[in-house]
Amino acid sequence: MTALRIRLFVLVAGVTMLVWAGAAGWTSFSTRAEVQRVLDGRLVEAARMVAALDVSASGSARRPASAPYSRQLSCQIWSLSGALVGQSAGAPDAPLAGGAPGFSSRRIGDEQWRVYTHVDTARGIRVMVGDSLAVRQHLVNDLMLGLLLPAAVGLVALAVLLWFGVRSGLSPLGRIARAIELRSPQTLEPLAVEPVPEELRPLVQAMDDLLGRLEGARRAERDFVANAAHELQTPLAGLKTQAEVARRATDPAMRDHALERIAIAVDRTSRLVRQLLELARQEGREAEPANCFARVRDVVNGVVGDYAHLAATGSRSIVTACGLRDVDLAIDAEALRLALGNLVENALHHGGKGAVRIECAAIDGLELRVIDGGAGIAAEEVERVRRRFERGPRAMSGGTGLGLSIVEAAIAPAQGVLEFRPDDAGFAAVLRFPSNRVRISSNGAS
Amino acid sequence: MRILLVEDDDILRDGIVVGLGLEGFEVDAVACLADARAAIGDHAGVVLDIGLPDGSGLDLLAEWRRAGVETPMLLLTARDMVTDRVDGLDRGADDYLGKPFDLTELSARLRAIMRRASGRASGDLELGALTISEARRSVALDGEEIAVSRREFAILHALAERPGHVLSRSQLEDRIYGWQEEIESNAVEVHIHKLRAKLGRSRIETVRGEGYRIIRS
Repeated sequence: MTALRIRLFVLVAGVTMLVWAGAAGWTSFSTRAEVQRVLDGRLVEAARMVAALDVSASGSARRPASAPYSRQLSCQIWSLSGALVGQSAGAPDAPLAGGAPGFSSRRIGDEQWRVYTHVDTARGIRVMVGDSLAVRQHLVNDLMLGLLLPAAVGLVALAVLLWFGVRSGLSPLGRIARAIELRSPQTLEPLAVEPVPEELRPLVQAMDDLLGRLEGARRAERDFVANAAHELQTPLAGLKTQAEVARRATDPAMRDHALERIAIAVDRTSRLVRQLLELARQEGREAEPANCFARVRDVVNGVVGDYAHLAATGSRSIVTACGLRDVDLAIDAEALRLALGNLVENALHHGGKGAVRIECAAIDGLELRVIDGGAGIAAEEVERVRRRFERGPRAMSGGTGLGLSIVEAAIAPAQGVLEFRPDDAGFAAVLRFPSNRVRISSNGAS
Repeated sequence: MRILLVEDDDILRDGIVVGLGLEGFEVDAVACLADARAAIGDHAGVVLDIGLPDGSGLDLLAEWRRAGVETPMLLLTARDMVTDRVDGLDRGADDYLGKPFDLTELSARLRAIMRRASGRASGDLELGALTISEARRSVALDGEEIAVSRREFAILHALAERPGHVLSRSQLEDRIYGWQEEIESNAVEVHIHKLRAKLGRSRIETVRGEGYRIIRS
């Protein structure tokens, strides 16, 4: 902030100074030339005037001395033969110039002279009028000083005004900076700095947007942690209660029953923890590049293998109708397996009786359907069960309410969406991916 | 002391049923709001979970209070949030307990809210020479402890809560037996008989055609 202010000041002041110096230089140069011209003109005029006067009177020409330009002009009158006829007071005795008419310069003693020589052949005289260059310089210098001094003082005033101007011009930045400084790290509300100049509006807007997103992310994280803790409380309460029952049980059957319940509760709790970790892992994944492909058919077969045992224990089966041998999907294979697996698990737990069917279809992208023979979820329940930790109305005990959240988090980086729809055979959970994530190999069809 | 438990987690529900049973309660347990609405009856207390599959226990609590159900109620909250607890108390809960909890604390709090509901502050009932301690579930006569069974204690406690007030046989059955239990037709008479043998004949009076009452002495 200070750096910006100084930078801006130095820039503006520097440019002003440069322009001012240029103008001063120009003024100085042109004034000097003009003064020379005027003074030279005076020399010529004076020489002619003296020549026109009576020679005898010239010597008596006296003027009161007045500093600092006293005896500005010196005049000598020579006869054409070379005798000094007359001179003005203070004029040197040595000739001011050679005999040639016109302008010339000469050093006499310590002084440099600028001289105009006028030759009047009719009257037989040569008039030399000279200006001491030192006096001339003095005059020019005084003139320049008179011009430049006020300007220099003005420059200082200008610098002060510039400094304050820059400061007040940048004050909105200062306000924003202060508004940010004064926040505690926990405050993520919009900056609320008003008024904001037009140029800074995008900056403030971008900052507020960022803060808004951060706030959202933080709230989601806080909610998640709170919900996760909340979800763990109930199984922990169950564990604790059963443990207490086991400790205080009076007969072995009661104790065995409690211990059995404890084992189940530990399984469920660890499943909940596993799912929480899984969800956190899936949500931490970045959007995936579209060049890491999973072979859909292999993943489907993998899922069937994963859940064959669970299906068998419930006298169910998993069948596939996935003819897409050469279809690849731009998604992390593990993520797809996780998503599909969760849906299959849901179908096995809730989906009535009979087989769970996995279908693949490459229509307008790719659809992976998990179809069960159950009644499914009513349309008005769908939004609710999608929410984290929400279980369906007929949920089994020990469900975590996290499965669908995990599915959505796993397919989101591949732009996949989860849909539910009634199916001829029952109820279908559908993973749908857009066609730009699907690749169909050219070599051979299924 | 028969109470109603509304809790959806089957393991916790089972634990509370058995655990409170050890503490001398008869527990009727249901897992959802719909079942709870159907089950509420002559219970001495209700233990109500907030997060249930078909809605919030807080809503059921408010609904019951609006309908004039005055049974003392204890909320089980997993969310240890002040707002939830305040909300629960404001909607008519008598107490709350955060999960996980101690069974002993749950039963102590239940006894406390039921005691407050019957207008008493102390955990001991004193009727002359007879002292009934709720916390220890013990009965003493002239300072001498007398061994009573769980059911006997429940009947004695029910009668002693309102001395002079007559309780019918079916009211006593409701107070001491859960739904699933088979009740023999003369069970209450048997328990009363045993209590009279231990405490002296005159302490529990039979009001013919109405039921039983305890004499304030």
